[in-house]
Amino acid sequence: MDMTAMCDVAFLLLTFFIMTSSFRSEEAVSINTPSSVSNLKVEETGIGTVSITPEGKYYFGVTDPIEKRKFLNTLNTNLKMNLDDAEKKAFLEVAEIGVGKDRIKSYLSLSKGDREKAVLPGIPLDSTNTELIDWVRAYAEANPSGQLAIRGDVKTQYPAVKILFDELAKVKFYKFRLITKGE
Amino acid sequence: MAEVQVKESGGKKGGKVRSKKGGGKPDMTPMVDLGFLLLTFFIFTTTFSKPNMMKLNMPEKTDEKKPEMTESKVSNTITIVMGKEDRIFWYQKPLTDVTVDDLVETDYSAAGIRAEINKKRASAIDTSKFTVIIKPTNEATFENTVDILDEMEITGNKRFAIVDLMPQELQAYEERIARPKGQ
Repeated sequence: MDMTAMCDVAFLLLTFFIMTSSFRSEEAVSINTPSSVSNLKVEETGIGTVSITPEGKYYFGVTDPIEKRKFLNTLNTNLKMNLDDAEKKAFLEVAEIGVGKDRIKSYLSLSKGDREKAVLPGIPLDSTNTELIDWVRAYAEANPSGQLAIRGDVKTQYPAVKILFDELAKVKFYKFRLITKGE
Repeated sequence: MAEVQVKESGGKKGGKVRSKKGGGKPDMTPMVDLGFLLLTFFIFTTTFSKPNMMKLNMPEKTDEKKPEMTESKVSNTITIVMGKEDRIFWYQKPLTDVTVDDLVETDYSAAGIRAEINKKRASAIDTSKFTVIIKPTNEATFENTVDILDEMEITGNKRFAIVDLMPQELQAYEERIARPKGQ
């Protein structure tokens, strides 16, 4: 049998998938987003994401690599993290950061495997420590046109969302995107 | 499946066969295999369903706290209170004299809260100014919030606000939630 045609088809499809694919980024947390009828698609660029786990821990992630680099530099300066080059590289590898500035150095110096296993405390956000807000501000400062998306789990309790809304309102952040999945 | 090109049988070894030009096509089978293997890999690693998102603008918080809601006529509003275990209540009363009996229980289905919103909007004095006041309690989940925002999208309500519960309402809610469902 002549395999040439089949081979052509296979490589054609392969080319198509390579062109269109975006790799599933490693997520530090698995979040099951609620569904909605909204059909706005999440953009790849210009978006910073706050993820809220069912336990109410906050994670912050930036999808676009260029924005992420800018964000990292701003964050590093603003929060005086003093990250060295190796730690910065590690930062860029992690899709979503789930540790505050106190522990970020030790977290980023872990090996890749250990990082996945580590129990993350989340970025602090409560009435006494609003570090997450500093992260959001650093993102807004580094990427003025960027928008903030909130990715909550189906089981996330409302107070965790509410405190985020309230604290963001204090720094005059009123516009959000809520990430959901299609029905 | 594939035709394996049989080497010319016979004891002839050496390059004598090759010297025949156009004698045979190369065997494409391994290439097809490779093509499909890579194709499978790319299909699996591609994220097909990009998450959706919905826009949410929170009201600006100004220092001169002027509760806009009290100004709007009661019959032009509906207040939705989301409670624990996916229970949901609505009422249409002035905020200050809401009691436990005013909270009407419904559900998140189309025949539930959506029907109520539509009914109340139809009977509103000024339909264009019909406002939905969304009050998630601390026991509500993020999913509940998204569901209600979704209802706003479905029913086409542009005027809605997410507000915290007032002590009076909270008390009514506490009493109401203590009653078993369906009463």
